[in-house]
Amino acid sequence: MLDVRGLRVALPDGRVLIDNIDLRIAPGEVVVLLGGSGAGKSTFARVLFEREELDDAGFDVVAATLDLDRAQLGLVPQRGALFDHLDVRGNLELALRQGDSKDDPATWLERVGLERELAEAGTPVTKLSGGQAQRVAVARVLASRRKLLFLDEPSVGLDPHRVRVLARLIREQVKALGVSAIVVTHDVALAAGVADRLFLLSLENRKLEQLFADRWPGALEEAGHSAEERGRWLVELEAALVDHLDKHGDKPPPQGTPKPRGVLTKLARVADPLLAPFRVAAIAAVKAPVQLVKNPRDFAIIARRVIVQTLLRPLPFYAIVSTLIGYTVLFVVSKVGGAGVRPDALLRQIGGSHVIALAPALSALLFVAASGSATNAWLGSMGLTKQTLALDALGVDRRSYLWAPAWLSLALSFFAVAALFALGMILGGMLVCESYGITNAWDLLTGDILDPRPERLRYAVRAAFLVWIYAWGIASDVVAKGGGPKPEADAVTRGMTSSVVACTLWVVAWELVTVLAVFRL
Amino acid sequence: MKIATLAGIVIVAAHAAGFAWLAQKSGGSELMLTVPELAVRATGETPGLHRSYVRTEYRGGHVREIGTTELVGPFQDPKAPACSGRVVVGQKLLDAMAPVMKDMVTEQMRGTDIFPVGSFQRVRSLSLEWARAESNPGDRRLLGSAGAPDGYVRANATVVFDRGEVALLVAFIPQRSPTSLKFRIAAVADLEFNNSVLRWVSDKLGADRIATSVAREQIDDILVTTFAPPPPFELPGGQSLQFIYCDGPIEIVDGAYGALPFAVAFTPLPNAPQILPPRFGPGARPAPPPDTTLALDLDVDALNAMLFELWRTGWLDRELANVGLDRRFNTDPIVTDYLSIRISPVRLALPPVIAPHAGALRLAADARVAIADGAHTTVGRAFGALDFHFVKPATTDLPVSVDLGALELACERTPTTLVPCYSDLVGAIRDRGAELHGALTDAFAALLGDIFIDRHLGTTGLPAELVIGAVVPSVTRGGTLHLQLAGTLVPVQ
Repeated sequence: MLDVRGLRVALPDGRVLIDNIDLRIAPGEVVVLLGGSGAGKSTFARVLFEREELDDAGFDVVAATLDLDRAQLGLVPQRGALFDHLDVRGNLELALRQGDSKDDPATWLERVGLERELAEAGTPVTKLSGGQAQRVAVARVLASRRKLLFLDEPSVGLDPHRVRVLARLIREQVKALGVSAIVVTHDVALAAGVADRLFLLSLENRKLEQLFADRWPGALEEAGHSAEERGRWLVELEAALVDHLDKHGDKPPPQGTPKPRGVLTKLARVADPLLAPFRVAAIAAVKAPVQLVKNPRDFAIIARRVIVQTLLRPLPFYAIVSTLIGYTVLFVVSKVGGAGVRPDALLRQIGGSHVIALAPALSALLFVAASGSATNAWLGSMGLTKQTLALDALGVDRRSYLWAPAWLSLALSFFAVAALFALGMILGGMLVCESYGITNAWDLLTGDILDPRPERLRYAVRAAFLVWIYAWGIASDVVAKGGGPKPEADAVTRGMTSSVVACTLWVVAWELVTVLAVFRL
Repeated sequence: MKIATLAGIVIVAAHAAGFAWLAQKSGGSELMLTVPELAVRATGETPGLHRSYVRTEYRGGHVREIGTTELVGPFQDPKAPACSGRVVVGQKLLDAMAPVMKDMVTEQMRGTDIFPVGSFQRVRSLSLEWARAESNPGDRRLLGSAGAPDGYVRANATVVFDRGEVALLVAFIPQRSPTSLKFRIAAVADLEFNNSVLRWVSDKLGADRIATSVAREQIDDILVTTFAPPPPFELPGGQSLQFIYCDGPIEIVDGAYGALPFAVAFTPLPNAPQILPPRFGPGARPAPPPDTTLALDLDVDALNAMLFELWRTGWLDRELANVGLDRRFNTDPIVTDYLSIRISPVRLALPPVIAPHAGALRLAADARVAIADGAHTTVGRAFGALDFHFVKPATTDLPVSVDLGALELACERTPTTLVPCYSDLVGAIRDRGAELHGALTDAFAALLGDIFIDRHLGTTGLPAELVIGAVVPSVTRGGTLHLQLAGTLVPVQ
C-alpha cells in the first residue's frame, strides 16, 4: 500500500526534520508512528498529503522511492476536521459520493458506533462531542472507500475509555474493510491498542526506528490479549518513549546544508503570493462552470455560504455608508458655488457622474475590507482546522469544490454590492436634490448610468469595466489568500490583511490606468 | 500551476488591452447633422429665417438639439421693389402748411403785375385739404374728364390785386408713376373786377390759365416735397438707406389724410445673388389717428429690405463689433474666473429677418462665431432672436420693449456637419434672458430716437421744415410697423 525508501525532509534553512527513513506497509496492516513534539510526525503527513505545498514553502523533500497511490490515501485529521459548512449527513454524503457509493450515511454512523439519528439532515457537526467527531471523521474516510488510512493524532481530547473504544473501532474496520492504516500519535494506549508494528520517529537522529521489532505481540485491543499483558506493554512502551524524550526531547534538528536555490527560484518564491491570484483566476474561471454543471448541490452549498458572508450580513453596512456618501458628496457640491450660484444648476451639471466615478472604487475597497475579509477568514479557518486537507484526503478537489464556487459567488456578490452601493449613493443624492426642489432627481441621478450623454458614455463604460475587473480581481485574491496554507492562526489574519492591501493596490492601479486611458483617448 | 498563473496574467493583460479598445469605441454617438454650405430655399410655406431641429433627449432632462437656419423665400425683387411702406400726411400737417404757403406765395408774388388784374397786393386767405371727387361734386368741372380716382389736394386761395381779387381753386391730382411723383394741376379762378369791361377782357384772355400758372409755380413744389418718400436715412459710418417711389395706389381720405406708398431700395450680393430679403407681402394698414401730422408705415418687407442692405454692406457686422459682445463676454468676471472658452466677434452669415411673431415683431439672425477653448477653436453657429413689443406710452416711458426670444448654438465639426455644443452654457445664458430685457429695451429705444428725433424734413428753398419731436411706434396685426411722428413746422433759419 505504501513503499517509502530514503525519505529525507529538510527545512528551507537546511535543518533536517526527517532523515533517510524507510517504511513499507502491507494491505490490512496498521502501523503506528510514535514520537515527541517536533519529531516530524506532521511533516511526514504533509509529505503524503501536501507535497506541493511543502515544495512551494521551500522544504527540501527527497525520496529514493515514494510509491503511493494518492487516490487510495485517506486522512483522519486531528479532532476530525469535519466540514463545518455541512451537517453530519453532508460530511458523509460527500465522502460517499467520492467513493461512488449509494450507501445510507446512517449505516456508516452505526458502523462506527454512533446513533443513526445523527444522520438526520440539519445535525450540525459543531454539536458533536470530541469522540463523536472523531468517529464521524473515521466513518467519513471509510465511506470514501480509501484503502490506506492516515490517522493524525486521532485520540487528542479523548478520555482513556474513548481512546480504547477508538482503538477497537480502528481494528474492526481495518479487518472488516481490508484496509491499511498509519496512525500518528504519542498516545501510548492508542498505539498499543491498534499497532501491528510500532515505529519511533527519533529525535536523536531523525530516523525511523521500529520498536520491539522481534517481540511486539500485535494490536492489544484485538481479542486474545489479557489485561495483564496489555498493562505490561503499556508500561514498557511508555518507558521507552519517555526515556527517548528524556534523552533527546530538547535536541534541535541537525543542521544540514541548505539546498542551493537559483535567483529565479528565489524570485519565484517571492513573487508567488503576487501571482497566486492570477493562478486562482485562471483555475476558477475554468472550474466554476464545470462544478456548477457537475455538482450543482455542492456548488450551491458553498455559494450560499459565501453570499451570506459577503452580501447579506454586511448589507446594512453598505446601505448606510453608500447613502451617507451619496448625500455628502452632493451636499458639498451644492455648496461649492458660493453666493450667486444656483445649487440646483450645479446638481444638474453633476447628475450621476459622481456615482459612476466613486461607486466602483469605494464599493470595491469596502467590499474587500468587509466581505472579502469574511470569506478570507472562513477559507483560512478551513485550512487552519485541516478541513481543506480533509477534502484533499477524500479526493475532493478543493479548487473545484471550494475555490470555484467561492470565487464566482464573491464576484457575483461584488456585482450586487456595487449596484447596491450605487443605489445607496443615488438615494442619498436624492435627499439633497429634493431639498433644492429638483423634482426629477431619480432620472437626473440615474441618467449617467442608464442613458448617458455621448461625452459621458465613456465614463459609464469605464465604471462598468471597473466593476467587472474588481469583481474577479478581488474574488481571485481573496480565494488565493484565504485558500493558501494556514499552519497557524496568525496566517489567517495575515491572509486577510495582505488581501486588503493587495486588492487596494489592484483598485488603485486600475483606477489610474483607466483614467489615463479615458482621458488620453 | 505555472500554466494557470500564466493564463491568469494573460487574462489581466487582455483586460487592459480590451479596455483601451473599449474606451476608444465608447465615445458615444453624438447627435450630428449634415447641412448645405448655403442654406437658401427659393420658396416655402412661409418666408423668413426658418429653423429646423433634430433633437434627442437623455434621461434626467438633458436635451441635445441641433438647430439649422434656412433663408426661405419667396424673396423681394431688387429690380422692382414692392411698395412696402407709405408716408401718411395728415390734414393737420396741411393745415399747418397753409399759413406757411400763404406767406410764401405772398413773398413770391410781391411786385407781380398781371394784366388785367393789376398789381399784387396780398393773399387774403389760403387753405389746403384732402379731398375726393365723389365728396365734392362741384369740383367735377375743375377735375375735367380724367377726374381724380385716388383723390386730390384741394387748395383754396384768394389773392388781392389792385384791380380786383382772384379766387383760386386748385386741385393737385397725384399721378401714378413708378419712378417719380407727379401732380396734374387743375385750377379755376374767379376774377372779381370792379367794372364790366375788365370782366369781359378777363374772359377773353383766359384768366383761369393765368391763375393756374400762378398756382403751379408756387404750390406744386411744396406738395411734391411733402408727399415724397422719406429722405435717405443717414446712419453712423456713412451708411444710408434709400427709399424710392413705387407704382402703388395713393390713398386720400376726405379731410383726413393722404398716404403715398414707397419702396426700399436694396442691392443683391454680387457673389451670392440668391440671398435676398424675404417677401411677406403687404401688411394691414389701418387708418391713422385723426390728429396725425405725419406717419410712416413700414411693412416687414420694408424692414427686411432695410436690414438686408445694412447686412450686405457689412454695417450690421461693424455695429455688432462696435457693441463688443465678444469683449463683454470675454472680460466678464464670471467668464474669466470660471470658463475656459473665449469668443470672437460675431459675424452675421445671413441677413437678419423681421417677421410677425405672436402679436409682436421678431428679429432673427444667424451668425458665426469662433469659440476658442484652450488651443482648440470651433466655429459656432449662433441663432438669436429679439422680440419687439410696442407698448403704449401710457404704460411705460419707453415706446418699445425688447426681450431675448431665442438663443441657440451649434458647432461645426466640418463646414457642413453640425454637432451640439456648449448647450449647458447657452442654456444658462438663455435662462438669464430676463436680465437682458432692460439693456435691450434701452438700446433699441435709443436707436429709434437716434433715427427719428430732431430729424428735419424739408427742401431747399422752402421757408419752413418739419422737425420730428417724438416717435410712437406700434405694430399692426400683419406686422406693419406704424411710426407716428409728432412734428412741428418751423421756419428755416
